[in-house]
Amino acid sequence: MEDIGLDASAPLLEIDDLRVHFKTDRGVVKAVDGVSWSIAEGETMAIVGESGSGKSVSAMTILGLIQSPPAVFPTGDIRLRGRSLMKMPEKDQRKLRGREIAMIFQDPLTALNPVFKVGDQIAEMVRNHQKVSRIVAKRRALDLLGEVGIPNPAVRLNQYPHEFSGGMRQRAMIAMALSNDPQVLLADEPTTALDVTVQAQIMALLEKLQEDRNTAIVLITHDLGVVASHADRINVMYAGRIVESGTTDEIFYQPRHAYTFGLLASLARMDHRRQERLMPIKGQPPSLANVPKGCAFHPRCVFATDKCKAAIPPLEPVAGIGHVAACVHSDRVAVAYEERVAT
Amino acid sequence: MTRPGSLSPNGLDAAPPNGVPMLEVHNLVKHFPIRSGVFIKRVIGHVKAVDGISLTINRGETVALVGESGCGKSTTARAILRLVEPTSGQVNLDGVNITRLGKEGLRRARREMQIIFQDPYASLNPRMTIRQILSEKYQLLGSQVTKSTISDLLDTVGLAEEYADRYPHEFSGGQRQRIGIARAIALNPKFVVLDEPVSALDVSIQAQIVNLLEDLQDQLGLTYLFIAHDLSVVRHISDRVAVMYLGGIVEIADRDDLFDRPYHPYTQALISAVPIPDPRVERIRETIVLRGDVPNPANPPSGCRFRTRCWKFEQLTESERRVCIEQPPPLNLVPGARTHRAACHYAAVREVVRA
Repeated sequence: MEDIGLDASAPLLEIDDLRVHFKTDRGVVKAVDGVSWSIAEGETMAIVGESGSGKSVSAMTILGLIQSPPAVFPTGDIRLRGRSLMKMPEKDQRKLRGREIAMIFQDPLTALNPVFKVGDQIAEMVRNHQKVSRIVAKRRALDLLGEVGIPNPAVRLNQYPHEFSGGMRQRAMIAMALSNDPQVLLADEPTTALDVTVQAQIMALLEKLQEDRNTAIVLITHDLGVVASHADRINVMYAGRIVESGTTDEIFYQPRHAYTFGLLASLARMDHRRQERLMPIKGQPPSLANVPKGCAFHPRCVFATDKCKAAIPPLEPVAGIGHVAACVHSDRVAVAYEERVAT
Repeated sequence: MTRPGSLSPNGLDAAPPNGVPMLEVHNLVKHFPIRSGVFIKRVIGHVKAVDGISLTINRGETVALVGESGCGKSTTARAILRLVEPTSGQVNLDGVNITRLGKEGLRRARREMQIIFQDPYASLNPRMTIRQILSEKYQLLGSQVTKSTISDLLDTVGLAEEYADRYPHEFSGGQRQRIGIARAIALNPKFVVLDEPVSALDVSIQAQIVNLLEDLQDQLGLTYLFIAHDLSVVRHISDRVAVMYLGGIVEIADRDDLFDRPYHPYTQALISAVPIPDPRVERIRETIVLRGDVPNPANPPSGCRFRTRCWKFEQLTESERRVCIEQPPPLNLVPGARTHRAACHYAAVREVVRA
């Protein structure tokens, strides 16, 4: 870590006013449009949003996986311990990626190379960042497969990805992500492709690894159930922007943005006896090439007034420290939420 | 001897309110042969995807078939509709045995039974406009399209008429699923299979489609077989729920009975693993974490198929375990119940939704 001069007192990972735009034939797609957050050691922060909300693009930008062009970054910075990743030479960035920051993806089959043995892929990852022999790297791969709960790791080491089941592949990818003891783990829909019983195994594994290593986890998902059981803090994204941010309890029990409220109200609950009808959010998510003026959510919002169309509402403090929402009608949302709870 | 997943004596637990049930499935089996060899393909085994399923669905009822990937729920649905030919067993649709129907008879029967697929992107032909996709349906099943047919149909599923001449790629996921629904209900079927109809959709759109499906059921008197792995939606939409594991039904009950008083250890683990979007509930809730993955259906475990992953099996004594290893558990009524059945030698209630 010394060789790239990081500041131990700065936040572990910090995203500051990040904008990721794509120039297309149909106009500028603002996939991420002014997003800021930070995460500390041992913390789990969730980024919640629907497809096209920009949650994955922001994570991929951190890892330098967004190509420019076509992408442009009009503003913004990504800082690891105070050191800007965006201003860093490519060579230094590569050192950090995979070592200090690692990512696990939704679909392990596309993230693992089908023509190489799983053990070799993990060993390669180790040798990319550490000066060790092949044998030591292979031994490290063996230990990692055991640590993520893969039975018979010595046999599995020499198998190819297609010989693994979905849950086992996801474990192998987690092993690969952990191979250099990263401080930040970006988990993009880590369990969406898995069955619920396997999802429970994988989330339990991630929690245990986090406890052992004090890893910070950025959990990117649309599944509010997973978020409720695993996140410390939540950022809710809509159309490329954070619309509400707070602790997990604040978001679930004191939602102040109309979209957060709508999302929570629309859920079918397994632990509730049947309600008469579900309360959907009307309309469709906007195209990012053509985001509505003002608050991007206003065409679908039951609280919307002319004020919502005038300008993009800024994130402002609502109830609680650090709880912010970008909603003109946060007071009315609060009242509506209380009424809903009361019934 | 009773096989796992079969109902005794005739599979009719819920008495039909008026005459024949809409759907009766008796001991449905679908085995896929595994072939090997270069020139002469020999059958070296069978994947027992569906291994003796019996099920009754009454008129206007919604029965959910739940389970994890590879449990055979989708194959069951396809075998019921004869989209894959069942290996054996009988399916009666509105009293008519459709397993015996020839090509022409089956085509007529298809008017009565339809399916809505999970992926609205893959199930619509990208080169056809919505009007062509929907009109084709009427032509295929031998019915006339009048001037207002398509616009009425689109209106029923909540789409404006002007969308009729657009292509599938111009629609969002939720809108495409509405088109898939329009195609399925076009000829007023009696029975519709919903194969994971909302799984591919965004959370805020799922509720729209669930409400639409419920409205259509009321308006058109539809009977649904709902295939799903999302138990939250299942609890909302279904009247009864059947849980499948490795080709067989392990538990079947009325919705609230199943969620509030599950008897089978697999059902209990499945329900406990579903995270509930409520942090305070999640903090006190216990998850039963199952070991390992679902076994290979070509070579299922002897006796009870769930025993290799069963949390209860681990707590049993040696002699108790032998029962699980040697005898397939029949799908028996649980104590005091009229319709609640579970296939476990040591079935007992365990509350898993709240505690």
